[in-house]
Amino acid sequence: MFFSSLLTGSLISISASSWMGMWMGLEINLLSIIPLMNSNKNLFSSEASLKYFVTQTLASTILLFSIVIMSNNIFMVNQIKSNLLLIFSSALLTKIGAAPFHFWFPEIVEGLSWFNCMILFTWQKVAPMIIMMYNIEFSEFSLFTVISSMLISGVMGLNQTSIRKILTYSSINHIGWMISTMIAMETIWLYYFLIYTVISLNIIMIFSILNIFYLKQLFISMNNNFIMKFFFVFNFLSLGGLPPFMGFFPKWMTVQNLVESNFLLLSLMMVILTLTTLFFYLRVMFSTLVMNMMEINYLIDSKFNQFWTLVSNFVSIFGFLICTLLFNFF
Amino acid sequence: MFFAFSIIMYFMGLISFCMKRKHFLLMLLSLEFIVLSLYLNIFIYLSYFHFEYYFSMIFLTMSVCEGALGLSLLVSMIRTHGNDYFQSFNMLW
Repeated sequence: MFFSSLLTGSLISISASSWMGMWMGLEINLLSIIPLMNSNKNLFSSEASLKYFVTQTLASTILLFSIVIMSNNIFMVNQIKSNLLLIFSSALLTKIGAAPFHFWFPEIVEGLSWFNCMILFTWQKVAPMIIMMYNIEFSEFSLFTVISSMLISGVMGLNQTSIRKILTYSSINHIGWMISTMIAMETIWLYYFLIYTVISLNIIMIFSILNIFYLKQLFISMNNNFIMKFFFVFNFLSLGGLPPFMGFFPKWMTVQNLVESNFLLLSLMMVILTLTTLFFYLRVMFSTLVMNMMEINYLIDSKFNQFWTLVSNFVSIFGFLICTLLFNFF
Repeated sequence: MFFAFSIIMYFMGLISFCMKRKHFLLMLLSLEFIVLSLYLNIFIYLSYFHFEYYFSMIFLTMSVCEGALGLSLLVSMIRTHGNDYFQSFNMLW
């Protein structure tokens, strides 16, 4: 029940004709995700939902403040308007967890189940990002956000062993890429978001079936089922943006459009700083592929629901090649 | 004049929200104070349109929903952790 009102809230927020309607959609979204995240029986999830509520309502009130002052447009000089848009976009960046405002994100994700993580990584970013796309004005602040997202996610993801936190820092990295697409051409944002959602869904589906939360649970996980092991590794390579897989396509489009719009230094910095995230994906992949300890007391062999996981992973990984092949027929 | 007053009220509420060190209930109270200052601001804005205050009721309803959600989270926290002190939030880092 709360899931449908979660979807409805974001859709209201996107399709609103006034700022107040947009704010109401964000409130409905928050109101319906908190019961999904909260659980009376579990310390982790009640604390996570509490912290999420606090940060999101603070961001909502800052958003409302800038909306109400912008509406009283007696005082609107251009300089005041750009400062208020700075406050407005800061509130929205707090809502999605972009880097100067990301400090709530790893702690909260650490306390959630995989289903709630999936909602937080994918659907919760839709409404604030689309609102940012409607209102963004290119400034040094947006560049600062992009570069600090890359830096912070690269550096802080290096010392993590909890897989939820690794995925959080990779999510912050991808948020940086998505904000940079808003500078150049906005349809690429849609491609980036869709492909990131598909890859995230596949990875989180594998993790939730195996019930894995930490790196040391990985090397005994898929030893009997080598197709799933390879698909898992290919999904992580795709998330890192390596060419034969589908994750390369949005990064390629982004870099091409940034270079055509003359943001050469920005695209160079982004590509270089993404390499550190690729390093910790590789560490996760080595944990599954290489280490095989023969003297383990607790062998776990999970049954995968073979058909749908295979199909979904196949689409996510090899979809790129099939797309380029399809161009021959149309 | 009222406009400047509502902005000062908002920033005081924001400072009070960020500086609470012991109890979670005080943070929720300062959140309600922030909402009250925004409500005053909306009143000022709507008074320019020949006193059309209908929208302020809708705004108030949504904000009260948010406050009620905060209180229910406080209740949930007391059921799991036993108190509402900030220092008892150490499960997650």
